Amino acid sequence: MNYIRIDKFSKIPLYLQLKDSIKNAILTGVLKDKDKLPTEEFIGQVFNISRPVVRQAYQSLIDEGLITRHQGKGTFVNKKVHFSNIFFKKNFNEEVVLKGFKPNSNILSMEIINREDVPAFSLDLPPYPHYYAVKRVRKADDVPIAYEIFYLPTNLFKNLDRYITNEMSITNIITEIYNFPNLLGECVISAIEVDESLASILKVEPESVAIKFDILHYNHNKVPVFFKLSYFPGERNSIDVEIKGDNDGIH
Amino acid sequence: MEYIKIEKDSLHPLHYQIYSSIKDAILTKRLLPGDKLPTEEELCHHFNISRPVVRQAYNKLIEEEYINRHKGKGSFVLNPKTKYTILQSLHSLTEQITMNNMNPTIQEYLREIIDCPIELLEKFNAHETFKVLHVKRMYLGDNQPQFYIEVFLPYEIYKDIISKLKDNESIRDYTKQMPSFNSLSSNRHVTAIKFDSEICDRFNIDKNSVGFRIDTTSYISDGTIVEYMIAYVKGLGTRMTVNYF
Repeated sequence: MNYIRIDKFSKIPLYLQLKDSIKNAILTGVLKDKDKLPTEEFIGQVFNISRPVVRQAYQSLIDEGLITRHQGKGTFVNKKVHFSNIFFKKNFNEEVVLKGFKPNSNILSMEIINREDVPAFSLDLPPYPHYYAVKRVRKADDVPIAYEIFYLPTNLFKNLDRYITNEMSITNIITEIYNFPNLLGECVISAIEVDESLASILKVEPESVAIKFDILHYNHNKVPVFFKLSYFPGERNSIDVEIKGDNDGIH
Repeated sequence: MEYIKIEKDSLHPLHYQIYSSIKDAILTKRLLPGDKLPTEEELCHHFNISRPVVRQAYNKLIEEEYINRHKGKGSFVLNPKTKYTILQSLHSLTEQITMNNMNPTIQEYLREIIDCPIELLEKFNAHETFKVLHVKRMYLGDNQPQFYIEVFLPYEIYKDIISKLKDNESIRDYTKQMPSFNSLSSNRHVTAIKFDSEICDRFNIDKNSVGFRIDTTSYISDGTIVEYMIAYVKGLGTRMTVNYF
């Protein structure tokens, strides 16, 4: 337990000191996936702090998804490569770093295709004849989290090939270089079985499950700008939503 | 064109026969999204029928969003049209089905009072003596399975429901009459999985088919958890929509 540092004279609340020590140990790899944490009682005794303080620290780590509690068994480090809602996050890399992994992106290919060769959902595609198809894989600690294909009309994204690199954020290219800030997305989500080529890209077993996102991006005037297809391995991703009830009793 | 069956002596008008055989081929997946349909001209020649008859059939299919027409290229089968907004709305499953222009029905497989399964005690913030009402149901749309659900309801709150809830009544439609349920909120946790054989059987789909599992925890304004529901939605032909940013 020497990764836990508690300073009773510090102005930082005790629970936060405890939480940060554990979090830091997880993020730096001192604590590994599935490692068992000391019981709340034990920590309370060793550091002479009250049970509610320990509980608050643990709860906060549970809420962040860094540890999980198994009834009757104890509390364990949760550091598998698994993401909740990574698809809705604006900054993939930041999200990956927050969970203690190293992010990277690989552009697999980039070519110009005809509008008809953009997959079927995109019937509301902008009416331009040619599209850049940019394929890339996003990873955390070299484990694929997402395979994305961007379909960007060449008329709106002239000379895109000059800017696309593994290091450049495509979102930044779209918002800043081509000046499409604050695009909205209309997203259709489906569950699919992974075929062999997708399996080798996502590094999962063939016939395993993936979550597929079709997203049509459009501007505030409802004019479509580009289309994106993404595949997320089911074993490494989940969607979590909170839906607040109104008082109108729709339910 | 073997999926189009026309009987000139039938009671049904010709345009209806064309319409319904194509629709049927789409629903039974003999025609898949993206497939090209014969041109109107080809159909006229092949069956020796008039152009307006074919046009009427195609227009109906377009109107109902089974196919669409690309100028100069022909008509193509559209993706299946069941779209559910469960990721952003609290509509009941019955309402979700109705919103897809299908007639909702419910088939109930199980209704029992049990001790809360250990793995769910934590979800309810409960102790081991906690009783729940356990229900398994299929929600169908036009007699096609849409949502297979397993629900756990705290018995204390739902004492009445076990006898009063009708087999074909949505649990939500029943509980929303309870005053404290006005401001119900839900957290949904969605994963993509392979269905086990029980679920595949219920949906009448191939073994190991993929789909979504949606775990929903619902709570009222004072934080009391009033429902834990596991819903299964098959992957093929089902879409969930979200608007974001």
